[in-house]
Amino acid sequence: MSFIVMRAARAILTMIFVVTAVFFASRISGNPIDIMFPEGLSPEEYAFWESYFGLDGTYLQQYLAFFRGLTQGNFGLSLTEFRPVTEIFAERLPNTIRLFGSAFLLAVAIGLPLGIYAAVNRDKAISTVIIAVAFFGYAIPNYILAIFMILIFSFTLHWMPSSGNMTWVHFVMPTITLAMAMMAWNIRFTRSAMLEILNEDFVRTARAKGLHEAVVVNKHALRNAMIPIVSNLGLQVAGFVGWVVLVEAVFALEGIGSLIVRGALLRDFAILQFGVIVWAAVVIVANLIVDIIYALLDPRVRIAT
Amino acid sequence: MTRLFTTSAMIALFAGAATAQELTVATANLSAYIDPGADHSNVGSQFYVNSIEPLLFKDPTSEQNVFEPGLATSWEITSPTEMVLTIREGVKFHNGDDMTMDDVVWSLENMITPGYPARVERSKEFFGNITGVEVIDDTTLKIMSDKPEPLFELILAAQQAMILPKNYTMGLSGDPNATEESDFIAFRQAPVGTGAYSYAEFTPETRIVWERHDDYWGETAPYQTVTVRRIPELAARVTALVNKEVDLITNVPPDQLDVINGAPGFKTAGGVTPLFHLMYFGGGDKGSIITPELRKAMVLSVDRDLLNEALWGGAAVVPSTHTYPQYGDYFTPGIETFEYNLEEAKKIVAENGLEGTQLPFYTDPVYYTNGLLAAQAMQEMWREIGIDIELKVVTSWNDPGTPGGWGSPDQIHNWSNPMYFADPHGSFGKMWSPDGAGMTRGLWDPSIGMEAWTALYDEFRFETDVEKRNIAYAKLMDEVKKDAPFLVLYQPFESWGMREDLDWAPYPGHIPYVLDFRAGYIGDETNGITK
Amino acid sequence: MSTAETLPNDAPLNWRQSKFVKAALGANWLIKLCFVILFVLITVALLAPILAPYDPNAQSLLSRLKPPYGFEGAKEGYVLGTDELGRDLYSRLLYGLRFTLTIALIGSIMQMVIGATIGIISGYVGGAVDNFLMGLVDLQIAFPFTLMALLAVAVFGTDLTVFVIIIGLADWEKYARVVRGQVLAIREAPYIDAVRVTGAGPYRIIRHHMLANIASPIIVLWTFGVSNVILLESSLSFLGLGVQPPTATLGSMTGFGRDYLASYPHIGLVPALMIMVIALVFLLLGDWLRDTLDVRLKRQA
Repeated sequence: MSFIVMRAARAILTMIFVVTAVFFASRISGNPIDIMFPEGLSPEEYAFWESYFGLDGTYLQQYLAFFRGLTQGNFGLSLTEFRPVTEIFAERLPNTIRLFGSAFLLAVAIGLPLGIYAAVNRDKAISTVIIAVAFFGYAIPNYILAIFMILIFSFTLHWMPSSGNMTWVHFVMPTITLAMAMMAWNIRFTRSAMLEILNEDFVRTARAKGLHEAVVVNKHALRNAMIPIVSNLGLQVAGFVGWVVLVEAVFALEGIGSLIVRGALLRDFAILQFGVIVWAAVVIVANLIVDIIYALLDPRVRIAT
Repeated sequence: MTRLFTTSAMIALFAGAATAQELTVATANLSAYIDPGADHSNVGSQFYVNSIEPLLFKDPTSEQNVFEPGLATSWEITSPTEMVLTIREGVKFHNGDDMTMDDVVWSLENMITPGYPARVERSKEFFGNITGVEVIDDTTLKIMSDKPEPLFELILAAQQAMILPKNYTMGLSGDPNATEESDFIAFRQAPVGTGAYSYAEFTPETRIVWERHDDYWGETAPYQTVTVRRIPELAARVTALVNKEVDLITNVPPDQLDVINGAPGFKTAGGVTPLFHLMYFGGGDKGSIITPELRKAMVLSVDRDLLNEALWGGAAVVPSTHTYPQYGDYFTPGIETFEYNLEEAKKIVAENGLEGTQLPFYTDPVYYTNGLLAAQAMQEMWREIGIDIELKVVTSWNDPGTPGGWGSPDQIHNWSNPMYFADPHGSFGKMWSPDGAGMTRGLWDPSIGMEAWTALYDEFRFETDVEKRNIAYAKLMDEVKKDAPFLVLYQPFESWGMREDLDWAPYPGHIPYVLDFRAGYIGDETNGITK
Repeated sequence: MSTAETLPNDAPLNWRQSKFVKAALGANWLIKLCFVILFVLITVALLAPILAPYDPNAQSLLSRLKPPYGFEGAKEGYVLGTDELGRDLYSRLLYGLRFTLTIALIGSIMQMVIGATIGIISGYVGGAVDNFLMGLVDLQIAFPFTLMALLAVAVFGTDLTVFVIIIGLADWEKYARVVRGQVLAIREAPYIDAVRVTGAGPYRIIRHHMLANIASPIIVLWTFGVSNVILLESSLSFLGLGVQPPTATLGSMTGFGRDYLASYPHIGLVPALMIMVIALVFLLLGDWLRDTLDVRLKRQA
């Protein structure tokens, strides 16, 4: 248990470090008040908004006020929307969870078995096909695949809606696009991890002992390979922002990714700061789950803590 | 087989059958806030007339200034400095409150002497000459000006003079009996008006949902629901239209018209917009490397007709000076303020040793239709005369402290001068009068001095004789020509794409980009709505 | 997490010797094809100023949006047609390729240098320094690169230098981890002790004995790195965070071409295909190199 607490503490420290870095970086680059009025601000207005958003004290004062706010559950006001960032994230988070969650499950359900198969049957032609698919999925940038799908299924065939997040139908193409990339990643990674384990001495010993190949693969290799695979999946979850950004942008899906891009382009630092906090929270949870799965997979981890 | 799986069928299947009388619109941009008194952007102007109303309406179908009763039933100019209005009775706000004289007085006073800084600039531009209001009785109101005001009706019909609910707004934050800045900030996210549709949902920069206002004093709105979604990507917007996800889209540049017109069941509508795209130079003359000679050379070297031909297929309008046909008697196409003269430009560059001058040009990627393309084209034109422009594509451009912000020196920026109302004061004056936005932000420091400029401007502003007023305006344009503080590029040809059975087009009597879906201003066969 | 990449970690292969060439000649047709494509792309990129018929930024405003040869309305002299400002798409493609490859090269080398340096220091010095540097590595692994790029753009704006630095700061942790592992393994190896006894300083030990050992994994990582950087460049440019116009990169050409996908698809599709080809070539070569250089895998087969 203390192991998990340590991990969480470390993640929180990381978060504080990153949020602090974002906070000060945003201040050196000039006052983040911006864009609220696409055609301009008068000096009076400017001064007014500066004080409204608490951007008029010294950096240290602002920083302390920011952290005081955090402890009270006040994560700041969006500079572009004039309302609490928590409210904005709450509106959009479900969409990102739907998109990322379904793509993640799809990519695991398809990618892992294919990767394992390709490693175990290294020399079969079908493995080459699997690897080729994985390479293509990796080399086609997400957004290009998305655009192709929109051109074919929306613009030409009129089968699928091209943008938005009103019904689950709207999630079909974004999910497939995202799952393609994540699946390619999973296949490549799973295959590598499996190959490495299959070459380990103890696997070769098991084989030498005349154990049936299925037993070797399932009992010895897979169990051991699952550890790096699970931690890779944990990383995938931790990096969810990076995965969803382009897909959300192309499909005009109102999620966290598109929100953070907008935050960056409009220099809405309140949104970016909270984005970092959300990311850190996801990392903590993902790590926790990975640790639990580790413990289930390998009793030694539990003893070691 | 394909038919079974059409998008609309699928969406209907899974989202429940579509109810009648709905309209879905996709816009390129969507407001960050709703406050007619603070707003003057091209984005914001799209979203007011359906929901919030001024005392006087301007007939949207007429290019001329034809006024109609709005929240006032009648009005009379009783003296050059006074106007008397009768307020309409039986008007209800979306929240159920009755509109009273209190609301009208409070709304106007908060524009004439705003306590809320976001309105200060608008107040100067529109209400600079208005001194106050006086209640005569329960339904009669007098509005007074300092100098004789020839533009009373225009000012009171402007978006910035719309009537808001006093008690509702004051109650939004803090003390419910006091008008605080935070009330206006709260109003931005929860706007209420008297208009044909209420704002059922407003998600900044994302979505507006309008719902029919059942207690509307005028003709009931044709749609039960109008949903506006923001789809910033052009290709995505066009796809959403031809894929029947939306019924109407905004900001279609001329080179995409064929895609929509070529798709069965769709069409485009549009026209020359009463708005100028322009470019200005930052920083006035205060120690800037942008000297009057440099400005002059750069203005002379832009081939605006070529821009029009290439980017707008010749459909935009390249004006000779800052004037619109809508001005009627005050339309002055004879003045030649902007011209293309490459030889002269090269001469100025050579005489003043300007060759090799480097300047950044800041532009937003999508805010102005064809804006980035025009910037790149001008970059090449300036390269011809030896001026080296570096393009900076930015989405934020307001911060005075950072490069590219308003009034920051040594930069070029694009901008627009819309026609807020059909008078030179409603466009040139809105931006370049002594109280105009461009002047307040220090974009131009007239070489004759601010005092002389103010005197010259007032000579035009308050003149009532047509001929004398036009002569005075010509003098203002002479100064623009001499100082070359900005270059008017063209009036863009803006288009909207839509379902073929929609009968809608932008109205010439509105300010640009207004999406007017009130009764009588849109027809829709699918929904059984006639104009 | 140390098994995140399948990489060789025992005896080094002396890849500089003709073994590498032999291996390349003995590779399957796909790998040979990759080498040919790579050679052609690099040559074309180097010769862009000679091969390009037009200045890539020269506009011909009255000849915008012309289709490639073979399509109705194509214009003489413009093989791939023109873009949204009447610029020659073929010339822009050549220069775009040149610029993209340059960014990929600088970016991936920066990643390599940063990562390898940190890995060497971490492995060789050990102790608190190692702990701190590995903490940085953990942070870099978990912190999504896109988020970092977005923060950097928000703070510093879009600028070529910033852009290259952002890319150069991505992915270095992969090198750091591998190099550190190698250094740790070698540091304890008996022959290094022998060298140390002869009085060699840390610089000499690193220079002569360790660099040779970590060359193979670094080469493999770098090949994957180039592919990643090209994809990163295109993604950032697509989001409008990349190189400023009118400069052509493959990513920015795709990004600006997307407005015309429904009407003039060639503008965006041609550079998009090019991105896919390059990414795929480097990916396949990286995979092949990994298999070739991984002694253990070969022994097994």
